[in-house]
Amino acid sequence: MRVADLIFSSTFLATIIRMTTPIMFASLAGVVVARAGMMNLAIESTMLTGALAGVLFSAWTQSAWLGLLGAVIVGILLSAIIGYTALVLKADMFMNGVAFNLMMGGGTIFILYLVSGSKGMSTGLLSKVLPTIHIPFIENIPFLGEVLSGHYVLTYLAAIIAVLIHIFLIKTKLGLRLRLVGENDQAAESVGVNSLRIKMLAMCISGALAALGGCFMSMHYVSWFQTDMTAGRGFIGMASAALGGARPSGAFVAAILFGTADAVAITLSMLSIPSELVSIIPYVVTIIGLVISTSFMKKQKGLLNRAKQNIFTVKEQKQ
Amino acid sequence: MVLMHTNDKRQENGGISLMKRLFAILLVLVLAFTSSALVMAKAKEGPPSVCVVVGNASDKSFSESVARGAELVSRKYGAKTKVIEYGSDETKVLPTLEDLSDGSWDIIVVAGYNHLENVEDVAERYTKQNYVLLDTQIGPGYPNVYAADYKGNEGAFLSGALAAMVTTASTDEMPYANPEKVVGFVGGMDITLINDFVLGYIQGVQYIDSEIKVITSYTNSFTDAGKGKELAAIMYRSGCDLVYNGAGGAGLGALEAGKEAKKYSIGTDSDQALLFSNDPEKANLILASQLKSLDEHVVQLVERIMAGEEIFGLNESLGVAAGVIQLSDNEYYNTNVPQWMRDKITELEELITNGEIEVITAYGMKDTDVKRIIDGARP
Repeated sequence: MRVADLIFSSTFLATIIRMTTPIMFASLAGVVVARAGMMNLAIESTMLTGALAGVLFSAWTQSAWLGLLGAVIVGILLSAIIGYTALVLKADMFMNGVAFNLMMGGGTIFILYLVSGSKGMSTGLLSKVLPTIHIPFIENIPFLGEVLSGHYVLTYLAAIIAVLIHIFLIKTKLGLRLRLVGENDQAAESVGVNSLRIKMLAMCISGALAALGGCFMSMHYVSWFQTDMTAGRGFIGMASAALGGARPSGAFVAAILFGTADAVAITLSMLSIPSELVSIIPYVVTIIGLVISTSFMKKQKGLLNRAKQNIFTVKEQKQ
Repeated sequence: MVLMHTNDKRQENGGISLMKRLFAILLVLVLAFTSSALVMAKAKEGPPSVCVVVGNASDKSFSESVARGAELVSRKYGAKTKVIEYGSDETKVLPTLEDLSDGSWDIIVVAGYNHLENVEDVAERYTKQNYVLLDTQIGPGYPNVYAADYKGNEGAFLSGALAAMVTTASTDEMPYANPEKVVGFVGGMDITLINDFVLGYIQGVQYIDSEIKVITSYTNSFTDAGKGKELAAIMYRSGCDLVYNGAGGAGLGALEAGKEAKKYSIGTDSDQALLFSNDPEKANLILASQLKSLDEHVVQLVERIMAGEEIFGLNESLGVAAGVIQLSDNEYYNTNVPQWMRDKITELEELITNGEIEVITAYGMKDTDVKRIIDGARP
């Protein structure tokens, strides 16, 4: 088996697209909260909970779309709770995120056990899967068709949402306010922007996006929920949001970079290369990417860093 | 939830042990007056009481099988049994074992190779208590411990033989078989436990036809079903018409890839076709699953004790010969695998049982030799 045959093929590009999708959702979720001057550590557990909610709601309603809707609502609720405790009750946001990750790691198993009587996976439930989309015309183009057509509906949605988030942040009034709150929420308050409401909105958007990423795992990739099935993709998404400088376009490219690294790693693992070497590829790519992007962003003054500094200065002032 | 659960159990145990102490004082008084009590204790009849300590009693795999063994014992012989789950916190195992050893259980069954030290510890301190340790062997000097490990490589040999017969079969017999002589293996991690399966699998494949190649790959995770699916998908695209998975939850993703590619799968540990009995399209492509019937083993142990056999102090290694390692014999296997293949599997089982086929093992083999065999089998 030759490397070239595996890598230079349309199916390899299709693999990249599939592996990128969940990271893309998590990454966009990270971008929105970062732009609002926050950090949502609970993206991973929101994904996991969304994956479970999608399966449970679709099994209950026997409709994949209602399952997806239910998962998005659960994702929004979960993030709203984190937002409320962190922003209104002034609990530490990072601790909150860590607590939610720990809670839902076990909580999803608990809920699964209550509903299906199993602690491992949900195969007993007749859950639905979302459809795949074959794009007419493009589907028939030899190489391009195999790469671009025949993907899951959430994959196309991820690309569309990336564009929408970009338009939302850059072109709309609400997006401008969100960025303003992220830059300096006291300045935003002084011109009459309700920073709390904006931050809650950012949390809710991030929850919805993370839940979509979770549904991709449980309603597309496989047709069931399984303990810890997101396997760290939420964290990789957060890394990719940081790598992309908290810009939708940057996060889009960074997510594809991570997806490619994953796809290369699994493809190379078919060959007689030591598996230890192959498994470090995604992490090496992360480090290289971070080095490149930070040196690139130095010129532009990294937005994320500034947002973080703002949080700390605000905290100091309050003290 | 799991924590509360165990605490609850422990309190209950505390209660039992207090009761037990009162009872013991009473018994000593009785003993002082009559010597017949001694005879009574020796002539204790009926099934032994069994307490099972596992991580997650519904993991669709290893632990669930042990827990089911306790259930079978209680149903078959009316034995008093109990299953205690410690969840994912292994530090709870030792205190749980100490509590139980203070109690009145005849046998305490501990499942998992990772509890060897815990069992060694309590076995030294509670010399009157009998323990059963499953999935690993114990060193000499523990007369109150029965330990057994399982020859997963023998089951993998059978899986490999089945895979080889399927990939060389004509499309009349196996409609989704392709002419390429390649099969795949999705493993959880590049560790001896998994590589023991790989070596058995490769040997089984090449026993049937030495020209067949085996692609081996690892998910590096036992939960990432998405990754398992992508790995298997690449194998199916590279000419495999059957992929055998040994990667826990990640391996289940490989079955999904099999369904999408319309190609065959073989599962491990639990009967994976039955897991998906509500999805017949997928279940029919899962030709067989390699089972480690720990439930059967627990029942056998209790039967041996009831027959008066002295099993404690023994170390055993069980495989196909003991009936503990086997391929799942379900409706999917019987309808989708042709008769002659099933006969061949039975024949191979006999050859392994009487020692004519010796399946190689990765345990005790040098890492470079293991790699050489695995890489040598790649296309």
